[in-house]
Amino acid sequence: MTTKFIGKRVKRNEDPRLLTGQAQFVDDVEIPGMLHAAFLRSDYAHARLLSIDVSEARKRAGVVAVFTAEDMGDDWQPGPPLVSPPPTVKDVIFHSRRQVPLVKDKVRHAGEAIAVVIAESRYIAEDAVEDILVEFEPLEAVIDLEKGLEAGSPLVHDDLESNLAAHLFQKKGDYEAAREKADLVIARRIVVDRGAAAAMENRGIVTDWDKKSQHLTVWDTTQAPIPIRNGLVARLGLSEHKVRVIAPFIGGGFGPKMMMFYPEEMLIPWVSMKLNRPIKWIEDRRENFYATTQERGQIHDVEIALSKDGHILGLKDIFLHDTGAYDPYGLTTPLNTQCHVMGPYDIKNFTSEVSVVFTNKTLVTPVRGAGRPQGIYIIERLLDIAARELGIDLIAIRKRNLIPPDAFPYEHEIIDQAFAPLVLDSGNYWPVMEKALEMVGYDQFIEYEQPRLRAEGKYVGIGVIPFLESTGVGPYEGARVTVEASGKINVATGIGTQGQGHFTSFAQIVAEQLGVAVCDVRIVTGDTAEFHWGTGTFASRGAVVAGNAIHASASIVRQKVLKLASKILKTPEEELELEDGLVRVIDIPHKSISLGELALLANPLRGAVQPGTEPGLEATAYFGPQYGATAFGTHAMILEIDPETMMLEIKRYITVEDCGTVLNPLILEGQIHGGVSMGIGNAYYEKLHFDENGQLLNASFADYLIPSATELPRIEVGHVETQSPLNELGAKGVGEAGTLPVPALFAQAIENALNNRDLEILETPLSPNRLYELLRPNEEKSR
Amino acid sequence: MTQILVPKDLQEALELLAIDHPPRLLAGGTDLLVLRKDNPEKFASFLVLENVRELCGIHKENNRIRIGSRATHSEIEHSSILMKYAPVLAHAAAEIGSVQIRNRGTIGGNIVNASPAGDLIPALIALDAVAELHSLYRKREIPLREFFLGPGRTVCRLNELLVAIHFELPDAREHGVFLKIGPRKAVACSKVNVAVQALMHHRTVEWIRIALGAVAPTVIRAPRTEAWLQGKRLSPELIAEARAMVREEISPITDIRSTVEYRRHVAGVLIERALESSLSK
Ligand SMILES: Cc1cc2nc3c(=O)[nH]c(=O)nc-3n(C[C@H](O)[C@H](O)[C@H](O)COP(=O)(O)OP(=O)(O)OC[C@H]3O[C@@H](n4cnc5c(N)ncnc54)[C@H](O)[C@@H]3O)c2cc1C
Repeated sequence: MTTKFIGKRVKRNEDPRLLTGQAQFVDDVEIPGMLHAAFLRSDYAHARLLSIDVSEARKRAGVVAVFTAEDMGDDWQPGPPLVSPPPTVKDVIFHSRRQVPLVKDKVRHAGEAIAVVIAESRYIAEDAVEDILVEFEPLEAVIDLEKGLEAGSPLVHDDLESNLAAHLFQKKGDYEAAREKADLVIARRIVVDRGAAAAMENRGIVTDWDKKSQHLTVWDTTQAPIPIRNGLVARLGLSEHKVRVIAPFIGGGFGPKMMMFYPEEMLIPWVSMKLNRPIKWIEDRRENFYATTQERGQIHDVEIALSKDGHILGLKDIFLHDTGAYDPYGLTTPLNTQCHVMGPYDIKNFTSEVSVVFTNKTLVTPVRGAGRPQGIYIIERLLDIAARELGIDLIAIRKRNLIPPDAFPYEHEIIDQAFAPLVLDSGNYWPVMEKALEMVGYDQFIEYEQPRLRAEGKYVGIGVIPFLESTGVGPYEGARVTVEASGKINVATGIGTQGQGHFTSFAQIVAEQLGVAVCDVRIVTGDTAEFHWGTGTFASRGAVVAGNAIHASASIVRQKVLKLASKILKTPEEELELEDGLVRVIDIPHKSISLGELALLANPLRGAVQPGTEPGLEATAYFGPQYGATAFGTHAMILEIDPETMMLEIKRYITVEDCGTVLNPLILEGQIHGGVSMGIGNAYYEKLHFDENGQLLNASFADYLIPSATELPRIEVGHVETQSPLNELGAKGVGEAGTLPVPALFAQAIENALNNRDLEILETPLSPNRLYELLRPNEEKSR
Repeated sequence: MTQILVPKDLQEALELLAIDHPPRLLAGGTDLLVLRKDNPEKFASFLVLENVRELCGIHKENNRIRIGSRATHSEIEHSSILMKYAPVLAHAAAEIGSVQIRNRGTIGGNIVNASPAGDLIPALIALDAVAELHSLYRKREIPLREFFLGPGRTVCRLNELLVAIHFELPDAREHGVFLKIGPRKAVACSKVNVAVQALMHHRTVEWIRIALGAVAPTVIRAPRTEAWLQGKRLSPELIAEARAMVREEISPITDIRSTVEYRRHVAGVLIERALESSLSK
């Protein structure tokens, strides 16, 4: 397919606004008469609430109202479940326990909201929070996943028999039989710990209730404005047309802004209606550390069976997954882990059993990667160990097991996060790996550079990790494309935008169909008044699902344009072309009409029209994929490690992505860069330290360090395109790809750099300190 | 309500301090305003040093170098006098926070804040610097080695103002090194930092001062190791012994930033590297 706009490095339409500070974020919304909210949050992770006294707070000058669970009466209701348990799996256990707007009986994690103060300013509201007296009966906290499941453990939810939130078993083939035949079985315990998404912008909500028109407007830092509107409508008993949810520019979503509903998201609109006043709540960073969802805590007991030539015969993974205090997001994250723990490999025999555990910690919902990085970490660690034990090259063992190109669509015989059979639509994996190996100069490095540098006393290591990512899942998205009388194009779609460059890549899709400049396509995302069907931006699905809906709408508009222009220019449609905002007769360029003129003609003021005619040059269309498209990639890295302090420096960082059709390489690379930086944080810097009482010990950016410009390497990005057969654009998602393989890559490259030190890494995140501790027993042994 | 006092000179500043509950001195505010965030009620009144000219400048006077307490980390990092005579201090300043923090943060604030991990302090102690404290009624000079009482605690009274820090002009043959390990390359608090200032003669240690941060309640010297090294000829074996000795001379703690073992280990490594760099001179 030759394209004019798709696949081009078009500069981003939204950047002038963002870079000059003109873009609107939630905190920029100011409404006359607006009040401010602040929350009283629990210091305890687990405690019975004995009494609350808000009388002093209510007396403070400038305080308008204080609400506790009690004050909400019958409106106090746990949040709706976001995702229901999988109906298609046999014997699944799932206990749905949803987050509450304000704590009523018992606090279940530190930072859970107990009361909300509404005041003339945030300062007053914060001061009044200090006036509230609460009596707690502290309870022993459930922190450790294994202890949490032991008999006699304190219970996060007293009405349950244990802290088991869910249990799910999946299998394919016959692992035990495969194990019998194996030459080598490797069993390990691998632990992945928790981190924060740490988006630059915290959460925030502004609500405006207009009593006279009975209309509620909500500005929300959500990734999913339409479901938020639908939920508010249901809870507040309003008509769908009376609630408008706007997700304006958002400084990073990364998953946690897809949690629905956060207690504040339900509460602030409710309070706004009660008080008949606009209200603003902007989360501060400390609240974000406690009250915004987190991810990745899992413990895996895993076993891999191989033949002596390195073929994987089977894999068995029994794991615990930390869901925090509630589980509104169902099984999405652990299901993703199950679907990625086989990696891009052809594994015929597989058993996986997950136990989801309630703990007295902040809720767990997907964070960029959403269970996938854990799966990839596990399989790649096992392959590294297997390669060492079998004396096979790290690359060779992977190449040997990759799913071959003729095996697609590849059926995995287990269910995915959408509860549908896991099918990999398309792929050609080895060329991607090969390209990464070439770019990093793998053979050269192993043969010459590494020995040379080692002779100089430098500990330099290489890593290469292939990975796949399920992306672009359903159910559907839609879009409306309109040619305006100005000749510019207006496009509205339901998903929200948190920095993905939608205003440009979507505009390119439309420009391709309608022959206009990319800057003449105005995209509206995340405003239910403009488009109110759809789900949201998550699971690397924006470009795939919304992108294809936009493509479909634009194609219909193109047909309408051609039909009308053909009539007016008295030329058959096949002889017309759309270029430069005009419809032209091919080869007679002066015989043309502009899109703007056509739009006017399509919406006449007088005269009769044919029955069945639709006015304007406009179309709305939807796209729902049959199932998700699976992207593939390979990251390669060379790092140098200081063998004493374990401080490291990345010398080269290569990614090769196959996300099908590339809409805009510039934007794609931006997604990859951001993803890799997040992955580097996951791998070597970011870890949330909860103590045994459930207190987060590093709830600030002074102690929770995200990598900065000084830690990030230059990232070289290569592309391979294997189009997805599941959608017309041939696109696959890439939003999370950058993050997925990084912890596995770090582990491999560090082991490679320190290959004289008998190191086996079975955990992530690492840190210089942790690595030193892992090596210390070896050093002491060798002394 | 917060009170902000802006004296025009040192005399006025000292007068404003000479009361029962004196205002808190505010230099760059990069420590104080962070502290205030958690306990605003503790900081009702500030005395801003912005206009007090007597606290500025980095000068060579007679046989000493004198640094006004309001000198910023950026000024110290780029000072040609310090680069020439006391690079250990210039290098320490260059390692602090970020450009923004270095433009605001001051040497006086770094000292009086008395963090065990403060980066300028080991360098100053290795230079055997002296703090000059003024109150309305008297002036006293305290060697920096004796200045710190514990984390955040110093001998500087609330009515006193740190006016300057001075130290003997180092001999051109002296050699100074500052090394720091933090969890991240920039904007990161030291897990361990060390400063070494030494005079070598044909690889023989005439004298050496070793200061370490973040390994004890205050920045400390390593007197045993110093004394042991004195008069000895540096060799890889000697350095290895010094490394082991320093490890035992410190008393680090485990916190979320680091463990005791790692801090001990890294302190030894940094001393080894500092001595190796002297060896290569
Ligand atoms: C993001 C960030 C990164 C940082 N990174 C580092 C780092 O890498 N290394 C490091 O060492 N520090 C670091 N710091 C801490 C801080 O920047 C330094 O300690 C700085 O030198 C403090 O100086 P200041 O002028 O800002 O002090 P202020 O905050 O103004 O004052 C600090 C204390 O000193 C007192 N004080 C100030 N001047 C005087 C005076 N003349 N006489 C008596 N008392 C006085 C104040 O009353 C207060 O108690 C960092 C801080 C931040 C916010």
